[in-house]
Amino acid sequence: MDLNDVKYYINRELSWLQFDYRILEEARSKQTPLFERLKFLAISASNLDEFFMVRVASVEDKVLAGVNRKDISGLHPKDELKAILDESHNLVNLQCSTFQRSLVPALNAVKIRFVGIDELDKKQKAYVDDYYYQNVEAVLTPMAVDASRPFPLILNKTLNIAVLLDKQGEEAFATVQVPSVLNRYIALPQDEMGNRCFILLEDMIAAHLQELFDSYPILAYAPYRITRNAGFDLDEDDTENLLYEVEKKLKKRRTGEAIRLEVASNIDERLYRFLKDELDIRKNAVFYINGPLDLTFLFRFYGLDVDESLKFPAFSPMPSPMFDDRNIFAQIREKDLFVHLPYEQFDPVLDFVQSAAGDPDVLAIKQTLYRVSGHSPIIAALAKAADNGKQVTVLVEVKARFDEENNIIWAKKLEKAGCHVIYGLLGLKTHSKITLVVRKEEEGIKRYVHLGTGNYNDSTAKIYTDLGIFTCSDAIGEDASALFNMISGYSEPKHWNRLAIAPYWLRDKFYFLIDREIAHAKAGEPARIVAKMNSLIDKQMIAKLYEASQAGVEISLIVRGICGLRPGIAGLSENITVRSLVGQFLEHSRIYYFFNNGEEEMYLSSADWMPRNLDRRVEILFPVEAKDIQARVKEILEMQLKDTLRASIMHEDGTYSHVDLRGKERFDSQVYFVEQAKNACAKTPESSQAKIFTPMQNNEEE
Amino acid sequence: MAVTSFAAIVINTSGIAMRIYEMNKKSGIKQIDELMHAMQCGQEIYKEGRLSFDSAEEICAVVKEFQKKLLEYAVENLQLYISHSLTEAFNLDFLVTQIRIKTGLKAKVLNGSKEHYLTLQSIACKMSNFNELIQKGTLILDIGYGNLQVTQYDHAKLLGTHRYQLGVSRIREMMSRLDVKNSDYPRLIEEAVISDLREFKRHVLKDQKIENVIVIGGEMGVLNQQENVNVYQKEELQALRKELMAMNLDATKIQNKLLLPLLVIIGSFMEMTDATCVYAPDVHLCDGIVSEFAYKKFKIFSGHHFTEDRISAAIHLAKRFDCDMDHNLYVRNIANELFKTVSKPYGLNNKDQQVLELASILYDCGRYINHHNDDDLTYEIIKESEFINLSDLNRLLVANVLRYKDKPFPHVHELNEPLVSSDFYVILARVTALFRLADALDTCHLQKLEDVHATIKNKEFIVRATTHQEVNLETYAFNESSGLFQEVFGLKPVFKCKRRV
Repeated sequence: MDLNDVKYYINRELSWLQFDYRILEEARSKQTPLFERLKFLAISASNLDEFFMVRVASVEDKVLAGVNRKDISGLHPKDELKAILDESHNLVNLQCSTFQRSLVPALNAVKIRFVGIDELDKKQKAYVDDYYYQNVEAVLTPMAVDASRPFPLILNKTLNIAVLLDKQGEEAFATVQVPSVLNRYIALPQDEMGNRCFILLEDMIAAHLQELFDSYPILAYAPYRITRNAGFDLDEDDTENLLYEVEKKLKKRRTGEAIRLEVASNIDERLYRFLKDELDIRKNAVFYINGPLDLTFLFRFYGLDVDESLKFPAFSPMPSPMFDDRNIFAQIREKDLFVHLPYEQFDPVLDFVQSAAGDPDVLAIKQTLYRVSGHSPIIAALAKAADNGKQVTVLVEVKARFDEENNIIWAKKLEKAGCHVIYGLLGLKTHSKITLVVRKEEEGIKRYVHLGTGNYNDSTAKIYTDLGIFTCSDAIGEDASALFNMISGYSEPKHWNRLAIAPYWLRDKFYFLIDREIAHAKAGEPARIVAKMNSLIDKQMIAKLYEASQAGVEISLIVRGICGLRPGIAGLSENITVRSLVGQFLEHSRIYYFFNNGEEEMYLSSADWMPRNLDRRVEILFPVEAKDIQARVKEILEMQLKDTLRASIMHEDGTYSHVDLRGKERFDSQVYFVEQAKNACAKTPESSQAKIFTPMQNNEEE
Repeated sequence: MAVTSFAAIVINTSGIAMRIYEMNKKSGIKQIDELMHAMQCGQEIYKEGRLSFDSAEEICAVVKEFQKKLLEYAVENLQLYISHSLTEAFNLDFLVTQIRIKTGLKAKVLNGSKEHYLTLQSIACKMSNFNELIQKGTLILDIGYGNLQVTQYDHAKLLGTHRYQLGVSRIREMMSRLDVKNSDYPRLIEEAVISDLREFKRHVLKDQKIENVIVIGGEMGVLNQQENVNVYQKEELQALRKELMAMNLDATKIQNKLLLPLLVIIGSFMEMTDATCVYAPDVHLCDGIVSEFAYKKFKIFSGHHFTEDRISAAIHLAKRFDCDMDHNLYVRNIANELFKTVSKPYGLNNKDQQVLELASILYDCGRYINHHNDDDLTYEIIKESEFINLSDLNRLLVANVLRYKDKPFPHVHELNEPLVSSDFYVILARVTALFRLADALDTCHLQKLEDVHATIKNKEFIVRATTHQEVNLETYAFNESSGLFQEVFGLKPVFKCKRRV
């Protein structure tokens, strides 16, 4: 059996679309609360936007550049582009029908209605007019296109209305951007039936369109939206100033080549032709949308105040029972500590950095930042630390896709505060999540390290499942220093104690761990691998897993998104199962477990099994060494493998289906962890419970 | 217990390294961080004999960056050394000045013996079985980028150190100057290395049994794994060498071109010894520097006394030149006695005593070559020899003490030693005067005197001894050689010997 045979691998982009289908499946499921369904639909729409901006753009670039190299599944770029566009059309059609046929009726059933301009009652009509003149009219800029005025720059992902005018007998084209500064939907007065009604902004503008072009009658109009190529390839070999180059490329992103055109399904043929020609877009990259364009507005709509039964039960992350009120460094000195996000609070991570910033014994803080939140308390703490005279080194990855602009702002702010800022590394993205605090203690220098699977982002920490460990192990501390030395431009260390670092050592470490299981299996010993990640598309890793399966290693993969491996093929992968979890929280942690003939080893990482993680990024794989944390990590894997409600099982052909519930317990691992966090918090000693002052009472009064 | 932090920075031909340590008396020395900035300035030094402007700039910039790193650990002590290998650059002094101006740090340039001492120090502190290994015949190969230094131990005594211009970069550089085909490259390296080492076997090693080989050097990092001390079996290294030689080495692959000379050198030594394996401790000069600092400051002992090594190596050298060791060691003891008496009032220090001791041990080694001009020959031999952790100036002192042991003591201008100071001249005069008296007391080479000791009384330096024999010649020689002493110390030497029946 040739492990390199392309028939054993699935195309990356088609697998991405499968993930979108799984999200859409949640939006279609009647088991999911209605507003969560809306959110899942928004997620699937947003994912598809990113898919076009990055992935489709990349494949299209290859086609245009005449690249003829096949992907792991044997597709040439041209065939790949056709396949993914075809599949995208199916997905978009399903998105539209999900909204129109399932969600709109379901909303109506709970007395929420999206109304068209023709459906307004008198009161509502007056409200719309009033709203339009007060809020909308002033921010509209109609733009005509003629010989002296070329087709204007239509920004990426903006919603626009194309207008065909009768200009004294001649057809003329104009366009109006639906202002993104305004809310996409507007709440209207209730109708006579007591329904909460909403109108979409583009419908409101359309109703007043003629007023914008008062001298020319409107022949036709239609909303449209374009998606542009957002990928940028930096020529880093010639880049002296990375920051400057990234800023330059960012400006270009807004005006990158158009990759997709979405138009209303009833668009006038003349408008369609005009847009297609002006944007120079291929025919099968035009998507006819039956219903509202750009369903990402449902993210915001989700925030509507509705009956709580329409959403998942509200949950706020709980305090972790491993932490108490004492100084965090004192706690880490006692034992390694662990945080399971978002079930547990992100606070210990903040506390770690904030305490370090104010601790007179702390000499230095070093951190890698990939994505941070809008008002990041981490950044504030780092700036404060520098202000307090600590040596602060921060690697801010200015090439973090879609966070480039944000990260440049943070980087400049940190630099201004006196931090030593590294704007990423030439040729590599730094994706690792690590913080090192160097403290001078009585016994000498002590290093405290936080290692995580997710970003230092207090906002996403409430919705992404991630794991993190705090330790003051000398071995890991030395490795952490060595890593920051490397990042700062010094030579690699002679060896690593515990950490495995990409791009130079991580792949080999994984091979070693898998090979060891293979050797156990071949020796007739039990062998097992459980790996949880976001994506599995690295061909060599997949081949290694096939090899392990053939040797008899039992392999359970929990892959949220892209998976290029085909499980369950006799003689190749019958010992491999793949499941994907899509739930209330975004599965984001990377966990790698190896049975090792009973001497179990488990690792956490920032890396997926993708070529980019293993070969082109700085990533960290770190071991879980403390027995109590090992038990928790193992439990996480066990519960996710037991999940019957949020899990989809991958089939040999690359499709997925929900777990057949017949004869099985209905089990949602995310709900289990929510309950676990709540229970653990309830059992936590008083010291970490909510603080309540107890007034002294005069006993005599009683 | 308070912890002291220390950083050592070493600039050598392959780059700049800094190691940061902590220490206290209770827990010893602990390395806490390490930084390495790779540079290939060896190539320009070996080729052009100078350090380029760009390299000097780069070195200063990196040292400056390293200084920032010190703040991260609040490091209290720092020493910056420039390796001896850079002394081949004629403009090295300019670099030292630039470093001082740009970083405020004073860089010390290591001489060969000091560097060698620090290297051995680093091995002793990393290898817990060092003292045990050197009980048997042991060779330590320090395979640098420019030079190969071979150190020989036996019965826990240092026998000597020999330097060859066979560093891996130098060999590569030499090969690059020849119009060598890739396929000829391995063979030519073997020829170049083996011819030099054949001489080592014939003149130095002779029939001495060598059971242990310790190898260190920058390129060993390519082979070494995660161990503190890596151990390679002879066959393992032979196989690797054969594999490399069989490859049609790509001239652009620097790694191959450095690894092959390394393996050829190791292999050649393995073949001339009985060693079955090679020990390769993961050491750096910085480890030796911190060991020295820790010993000086806190008496934290690294496990081996290198001062004794210097004496044992000098004795071995004297024996090679067939010196009268009974006389030399006897004079050494008398000289030490005399030194004790004058050291305190005249401010003589340990280093001055070391000079006196070495001069006593090496007395007359030039006579092995020629009786006629033996003092000058002794001078030359000492000047060209290396004594562990002995500065160039002190070696020059030893050589001059013996050069002027009989000749009239010269005027400072007649010394013909460039760059010596008036301090040097005064020390030379004092040590020579002491040596002359000590030597005179065994002028017949019969070790007649016992219980030699000295006192200072009024304006006299009284040397007392007992003997069973007549000491007329000794008394005559003592009086003949007392002039310089009187002039230098302002004391009149008086010899009082009690005859015992």
